[in-house]
Amino acid sequence: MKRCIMRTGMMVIITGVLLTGCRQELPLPPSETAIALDGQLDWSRARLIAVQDGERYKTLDSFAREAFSEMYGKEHLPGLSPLASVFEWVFNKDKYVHEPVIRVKEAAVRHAFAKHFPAAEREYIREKGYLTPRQIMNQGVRAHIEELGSSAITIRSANRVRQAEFIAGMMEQLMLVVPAKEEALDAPWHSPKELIANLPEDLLREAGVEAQRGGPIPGYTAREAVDLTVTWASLRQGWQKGDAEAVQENLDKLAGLLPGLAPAGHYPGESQRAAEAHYYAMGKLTWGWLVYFVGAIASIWLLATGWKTPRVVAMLFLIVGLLLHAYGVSLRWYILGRIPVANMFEAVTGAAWAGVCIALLLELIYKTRVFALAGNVTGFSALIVAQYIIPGGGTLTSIRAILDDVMLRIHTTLIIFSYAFIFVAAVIALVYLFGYYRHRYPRQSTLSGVVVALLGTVLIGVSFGAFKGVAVGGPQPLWQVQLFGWLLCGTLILAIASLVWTRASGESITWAAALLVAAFAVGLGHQGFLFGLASSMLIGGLAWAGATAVGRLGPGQLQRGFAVVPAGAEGALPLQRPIMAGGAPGDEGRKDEPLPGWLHTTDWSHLIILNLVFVMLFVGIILGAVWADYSWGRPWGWDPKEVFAMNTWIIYAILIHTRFIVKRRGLWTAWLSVAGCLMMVFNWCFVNFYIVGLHSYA
Amino acid sequence: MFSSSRPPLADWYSNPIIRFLASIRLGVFLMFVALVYASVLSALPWVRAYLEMTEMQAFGHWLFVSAILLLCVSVTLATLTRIRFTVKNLGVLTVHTGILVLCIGSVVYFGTKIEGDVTLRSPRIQVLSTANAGRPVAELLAEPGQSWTTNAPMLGGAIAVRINDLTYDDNNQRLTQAKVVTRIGDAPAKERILIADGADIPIADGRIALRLRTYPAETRFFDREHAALFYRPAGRDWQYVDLIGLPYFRERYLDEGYQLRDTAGVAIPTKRTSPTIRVAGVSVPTGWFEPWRMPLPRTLDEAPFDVVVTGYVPYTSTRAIEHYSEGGGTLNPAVRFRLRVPGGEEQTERTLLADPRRALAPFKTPFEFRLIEDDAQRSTLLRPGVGAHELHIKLVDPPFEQTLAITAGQEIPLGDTGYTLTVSQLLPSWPMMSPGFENADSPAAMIDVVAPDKKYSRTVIQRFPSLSQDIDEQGVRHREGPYDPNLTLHYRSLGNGWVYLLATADDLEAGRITLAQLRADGTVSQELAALDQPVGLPIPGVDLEFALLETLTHARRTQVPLLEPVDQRENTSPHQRSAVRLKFTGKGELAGWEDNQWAFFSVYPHIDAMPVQVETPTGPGGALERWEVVYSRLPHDLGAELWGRKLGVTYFPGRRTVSAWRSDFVALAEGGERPESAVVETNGTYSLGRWTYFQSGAAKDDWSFTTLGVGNRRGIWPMVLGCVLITLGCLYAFYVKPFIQQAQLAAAQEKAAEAKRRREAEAEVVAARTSSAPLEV
Repeated sequence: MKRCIMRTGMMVIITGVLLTGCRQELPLPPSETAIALDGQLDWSRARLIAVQDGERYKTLDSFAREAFSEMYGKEHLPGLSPLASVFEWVFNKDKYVHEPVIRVKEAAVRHAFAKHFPAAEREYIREKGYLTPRQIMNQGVRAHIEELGSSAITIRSANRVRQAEFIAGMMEQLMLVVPAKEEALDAPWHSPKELIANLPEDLLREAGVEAQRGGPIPGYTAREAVDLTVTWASLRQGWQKGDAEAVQENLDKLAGLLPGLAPAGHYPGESQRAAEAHYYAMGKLTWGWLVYFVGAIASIWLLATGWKTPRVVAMLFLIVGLLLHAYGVSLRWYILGRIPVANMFEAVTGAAWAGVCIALLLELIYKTRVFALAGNVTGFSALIVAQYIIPGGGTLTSIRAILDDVMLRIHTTLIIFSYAFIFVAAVIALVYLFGYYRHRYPRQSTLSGVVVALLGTVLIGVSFGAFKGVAVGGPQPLWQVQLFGWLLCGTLILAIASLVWTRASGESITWAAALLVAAFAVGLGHQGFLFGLASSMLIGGLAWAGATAVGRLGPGQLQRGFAVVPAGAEGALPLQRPIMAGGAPGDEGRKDEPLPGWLHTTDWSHLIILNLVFVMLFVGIILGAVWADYSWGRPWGWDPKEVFAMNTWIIYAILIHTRFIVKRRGLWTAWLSVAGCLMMVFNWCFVNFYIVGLHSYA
Repeated sequence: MFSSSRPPLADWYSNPIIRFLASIRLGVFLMFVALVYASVLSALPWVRAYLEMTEMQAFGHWLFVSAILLLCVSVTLATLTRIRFTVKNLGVLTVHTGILVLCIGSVVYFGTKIEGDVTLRSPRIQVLSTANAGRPVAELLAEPGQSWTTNAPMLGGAIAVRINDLTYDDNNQRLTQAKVVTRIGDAPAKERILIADGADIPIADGRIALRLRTYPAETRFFDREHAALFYRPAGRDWQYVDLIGLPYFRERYLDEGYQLRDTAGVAIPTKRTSPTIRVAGVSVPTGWFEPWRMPLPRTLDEAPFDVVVTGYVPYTSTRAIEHYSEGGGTLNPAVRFRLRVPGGEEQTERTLLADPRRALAPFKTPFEFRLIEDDAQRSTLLRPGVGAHELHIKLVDPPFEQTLAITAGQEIPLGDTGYTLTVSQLLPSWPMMSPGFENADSPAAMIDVVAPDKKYSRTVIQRFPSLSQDIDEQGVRHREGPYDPNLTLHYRSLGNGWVYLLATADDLEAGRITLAQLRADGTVSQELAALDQPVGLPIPGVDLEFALLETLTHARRTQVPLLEPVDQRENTSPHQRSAVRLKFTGKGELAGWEDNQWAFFSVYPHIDAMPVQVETPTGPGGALERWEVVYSRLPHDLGAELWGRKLGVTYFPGRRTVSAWRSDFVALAEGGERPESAVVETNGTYSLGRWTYFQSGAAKDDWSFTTLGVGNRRGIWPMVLGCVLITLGCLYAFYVKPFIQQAQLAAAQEKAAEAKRRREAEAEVVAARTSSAPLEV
């Protein structure tokens, strides 16, 4: 019965998540003609046409998805496939002059733009964030884009809008599908329209077409030019008329013609193009977070009960998630022809895969339950971040010149793998902290969870209330919010200091710490960040409080699972630590504060991963220095990224030494592990994007 | 060695100081201090900026180094007094040794670290236009196969230049000559030999010339962080003095009576001008911590003056404000005045020179300064007007003279003279191009003239009537003099009025001018304006207050920097767009002499220098001697000679983004006999002597120059050794030591069991003996 209730609860959660993910809103009425046409076409050949774009060769399908993502915020127009969207846009662009198709991401920019329009339009722009091509030409909007572009702080926002506008205006010119005839591999390709310059003059006169600027494309014969331009023109005509047969014929003809025009060996291989199309069609496999999510729920269940069923479920989902994850990473590797560690998306997904691997391996060896949970949570967190948060959404990109080196790849791989292990360790640390406080201070622990959840709820309100109407360069400058934040910050530091000094109770410290975090978040003045943090606080706090309460009041099996089993007691779990946990002292022998056996197990599980982290992070940093030495002639430049990697390692060095001098070794280890993880996250996210340095590309 | 049962210096541990230094708590505390220091100074760049420290300076600071050295002491003592030298502890011993070696290596490395760059220019063929003062119209890399073509029908058709062959000297270091083939139009191709830096080879009837341009070897590179001041008497060799201690990130300038402004006109006040911090109203000196100083005095050897840096500003705009002061070497009259609306806050200051290019302030009512020689000239300028646009006409033969108001399109027959004038256009601003008048402008009238025997168009320029030009029937412009000297025209535009600031040489000496106003209705008023005595000046639309601030006879132009607005600044290399204010003070015979100038940053003193001219009365007979001063970067000796050869660039598909750079050059080490070919590329360095070279920058045209980063690596091998030891030690401690521990534990348990068994056996024996022994009663 109990199992049945738990299973049902799990299914409800999963269904809820799935339904939330499936909700979509349509910002513009879809074109019925195009939808009908799209339904009748077989895109299998056309999607593999190669396009030279963004410093690499990609499929037309990828081009369509990426172009629309930048312009429209989604990979396609409503109701259309990405490929149909791109042709609809190229051939019927004029139809969309008054349609909201240009996405403005930042709420503050939307508010600023919206000011220039009547009330109805204003509300739509603010709420949905879409402008029409006509609206973007509004003088007030143009002036505001210029203003944003003139400031070093807001230039990114300006460039995003400019890029969306540029793609909307120039999509046909950007569709560089016509291969260069030059032998050089980097020679620029051309759009079909450019071939008009190669057409015979009499034909141009007859068609009443003006010669193109820029002169003919070198190497193309008039025959080839005629073939391609006629096919392109027929495709355009067919599309505009909604003639599926003509469109299909010309699409296939185009797909057949283009590869043959490139010099031998220059056109990207078909298997790679097919892999790329497949990769995009599979949503880059980032939806694998769902599998890990189910695995994580089962792992919590397993952790609480130690039953066989949740173990099978948790391990099954962990393995399936890992296989899907591996498939995504290897597909990307194959498509790019290099190890995928060159940008944030690749680093996060690749590293998390390694983290899940190690967690699975350790779970299989030691069967401690926490590794299963840590693996599932690591995979879930990485893939959900990759799918929804990382800027660019995992677009396939070329590697930066400076990164294209074998030693750097080893360095990067080691570093990001160690980061994943740090995350795995932090999950185990949280489990330990939860267990420790639940065991030692159950009431305060529950209340602390409630406090965090409450503050999260308030902050969600603040994230909408305080930032409403705040526009970049607008009448309500962010400094007011920031000033408030910093003042609050100063007050709270004093408050916390006094609380710690007077050895205040657990909830008071939690209150103070949570308020401090909240003040910093408000002080940073970023609505998205504040909302994300607030949601995490709400969910995390509720989970913490709920789990503690359930643990205390729950069924007998749970009570038994978390019960104190003194070290060496009759019938107790064997507490001898495995070799991999190293030789640092543990809490097992302490008589003054007996802990449940599973906490000792969690502690040495934690040490196994921490030992790996300590060595890998150090070696990774050093290999980076080796690379920097032979690349820049300087192994160490005190660049923020280097400094914070070193700081992360220092935290683990402190952790190792702290175990020799404190009484509650497991507790200190867990807190320092969480601190190390926060330092790593700060280094990976904040330093990368907000602090200028040599690693700003990473 | 590894079997000691006690740490080597265990006895020392009884000493409280040693015990404190060897405590793990101190070690952890010092690691925490290093972590906090590194976090704050790395993540909060504004803190570093506030303290004027670059990253290298912040982490080479004595405070940080002291913390690291104390950590070394702590680690050493902890190792010697607390850790037994046993095989089991080999891991921790190795790690601690590694940390010590790494720290020592790092202190040496960062303590001696020097980094900068050198730019190597590629040899090239220059195509020079002889008509354009010999300026290059094209340049191409000196490499066989390189070519240049242009279509120039005026020079005989298409011109093509192609490099066929290059010759180097015996050492293969210097390019000595190039064989090029030229073809002009349909003429047969000709091979020509260009000698490096030799005479230009003319082609195309001498209107184009070819030159093989090479560059001398680079023997110095320039520091990335530290600045220097280069100085020399004009035409002599440069000397330099370092400016170590100069601020880097913030505006810091001493009060000289003015505030600098940004390009939007917003005042940018100076930040702290001395390393002190005010805490609760008390000044706390921080010079012991902060590395910068202001003012920064420097002695200039062999110069008749020394220099003090009295200001530093980063993020200067490409524009600057011109500032004039007395002290120029030649006559250059000027007046500085202020205009403001009485009671208002806004005001504007202007300096106008007698130089026609800088004599006019183009306000709505223009202000013009004129140096006049006599009253006749004054009367001519200040004669009453007859309308908004006035034309004075004078014919010599037959005699005719008339002044009349004109409008655009108006036809003016000149009585019976046979002349008819038509006003085709009235232009408020006509830009001048005549030598000596470049960029000056003036109102002008375009008059079409029909004379008895000719027909032409005349541009009548108000301010400079003598520069009026005629265009004849053939469309030929008569620059050398009027096409029709019989007719003289003078034009005045008074629609918005005109304000003259008139002065004679004596007036300037006496500090006064005549302020004269011509109004649209033709009336004229004039008033004497003396220094700092405001004069009311009602002009159309507003009543102004005019104040003469300064009169100069030998005005000397200096530039005051305009800064980038704060929100437009990108926080990278602020000093590369900086300027310093230099106060030159005479010494020896020149004692008492002083000069102030802003000098703008030059990346290299010998390539793109923007020298400041300092004129001192130290020449023969007190004549002015000109010194050049350049604010640039501190040079370091390369210990080698480097010649640039070629920059290679490869691209990603589409040729929009570079995928790799490669620099080919020739290097001759000091004392070396033969130079060697060297290559530096992306992710590939080259070492020569004590310097390592790496790719640092490149020309946007992909060929003309390459910039190599240069740095030293002293202490690198101890650092490597330290890292290896730490890694091996960690692996041993984590993955070998537990096995030893386990084995030792098993052995101990076995031993204990053995002992127990032995005790039990002995006990049994004793018991047996006891039981077999006869009972004592």
